Amino acid sequence: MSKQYETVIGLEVHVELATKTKIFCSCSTAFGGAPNTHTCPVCTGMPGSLPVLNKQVVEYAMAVGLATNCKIHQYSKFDRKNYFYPDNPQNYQISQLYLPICYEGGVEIDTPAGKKVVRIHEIHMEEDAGKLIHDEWEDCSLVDYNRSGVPLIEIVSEPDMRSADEVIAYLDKLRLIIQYLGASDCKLQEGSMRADVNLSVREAGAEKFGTRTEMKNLNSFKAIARAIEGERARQIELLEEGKQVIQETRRWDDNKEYSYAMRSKEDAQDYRYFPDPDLVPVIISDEWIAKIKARQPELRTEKLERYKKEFDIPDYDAQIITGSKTLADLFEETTAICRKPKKAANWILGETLRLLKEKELEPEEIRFSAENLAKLIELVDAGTINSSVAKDVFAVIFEEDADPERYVEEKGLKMVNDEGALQSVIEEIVAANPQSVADYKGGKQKAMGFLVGQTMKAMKGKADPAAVNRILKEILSR
Amino acid sequence: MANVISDETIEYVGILAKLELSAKEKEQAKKDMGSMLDYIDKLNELDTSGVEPMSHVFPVNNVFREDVVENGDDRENLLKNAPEQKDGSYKVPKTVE
Repeated sequence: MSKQYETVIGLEVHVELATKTKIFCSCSTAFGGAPNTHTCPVCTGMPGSLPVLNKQVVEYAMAVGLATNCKIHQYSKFDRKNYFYPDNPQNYQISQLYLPICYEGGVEIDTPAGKKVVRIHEIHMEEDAGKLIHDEWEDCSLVDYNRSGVPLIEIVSEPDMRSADEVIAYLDKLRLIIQYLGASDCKLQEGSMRADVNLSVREAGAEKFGTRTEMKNLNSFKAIARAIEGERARQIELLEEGKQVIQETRRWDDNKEYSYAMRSKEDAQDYRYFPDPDLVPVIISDEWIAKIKARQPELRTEKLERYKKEFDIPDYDAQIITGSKTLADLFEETTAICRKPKKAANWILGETLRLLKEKELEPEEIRFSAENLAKLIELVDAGTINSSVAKDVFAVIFEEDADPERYVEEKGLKMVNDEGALQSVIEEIVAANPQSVADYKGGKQKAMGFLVGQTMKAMKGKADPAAVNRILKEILSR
Repeated sequence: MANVISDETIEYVGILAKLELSAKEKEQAKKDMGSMLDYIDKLNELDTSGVEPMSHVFPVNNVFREDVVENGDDRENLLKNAPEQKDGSYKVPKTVE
């Protein structure tokens, strides 16, 4: 490759909102029901049915818009996007084309070159489609409309990103804002957050954008990064061979690490948008905006600063904890109970993250309560158990949310504070290991560790390590 | 008629609407569409600059529902409308992405 190329990326991010009911009917949005058990005449597109807008959808969309510095269209309405496909029983998707609820916003991301704003063109409300399952036995497809009518917001960025890293930083920023707002759980793997990547390349320094393609089917940050690298390389190769990039929609296959053309501009859909006559306009008053603004919870950036100031947590640690709403909630709840923020942070950053990694789990999958973590911290602090026993107890808390007080009691894990008993055990160990004693006296510090280990083993781990060290030293110095 | 609809246009509109029109129907549709567009041209003679486009005829705004689940499982009834069904799902000709 002789020339230098710049990648230009814009994203369309779909986020499934955390409402209890669908956007236009009072069917449940609960995940995993048997096919078509969460449907009604509205979300199956029966003629004569009337959609009625879920107020919570408007409030979540406004909340996300305000948190991403968007302006609000105080007169907003819905349009029909017409297309025929069996996942869409109405033959149109209700969306917003002309007056989307939010517009002209942006979020700041960190890049190696410093801070950068990714502008948001608009955020609109729309409905999700049903799910098609291709039948294995017959030459047919089966349609499940449980997802039909589930509320989505689509966040459309400007083409402001230049690398996969910037895309990931932008997505992460959106994810955290939306999770903290409680507007969605934003799980890429489960499809509650989906990103379509619009990508073009141009020679470095060129003014004009190249021809872009849109990539779909990206369901993890890693897949997104790979798809961006793959598509960039594909487009550069075409240009280097003197060929043209065709404007088209491509489907990324993460196993094959290659994208396939789905449809090109020549047979591009003509959606014939028009205002939905069934849905009346949404008028948003200044008071309503003020109410949503006032309700805005503390977001990541503010939380990060507060953790550093209020709890004296180092920046790096605070970054990790606030990098997941689940971890931040756990930290705050634990701290509220035991009033020991440093220790709460240590358990989260240490053992919790270690076990999550080991078991290949996400923080959202944490099952234990802040109460039990706080109790564990108290047990260690009160000297009831020592820190190595605490780690074992924590593993049980992590697995089954065990009550550590009861568990320690039942398993007899309390630290032995009977110095006399400890003294006699250590005397025995010293007598049984003359070689180690000689080594220690000869200056080998390691021998001390061995003797401590033997003592802890004899005490089944329940001795206070400080007491063991002290008594052992006393005996050895005799 | 001022607006003449070409064969290509009527073909394209037919594809978008998933309609297969006979030669005779096409001619009729071309005529109908032409006169509709003439009517629109007539409307366009009116100066509407500075007038907000109207999307709804009734002066009603902000009709909302609260976010409360009210619908239960009515699958059996709903599926009665399906031309074909299988395993609690609507059965349709095989679709490919």
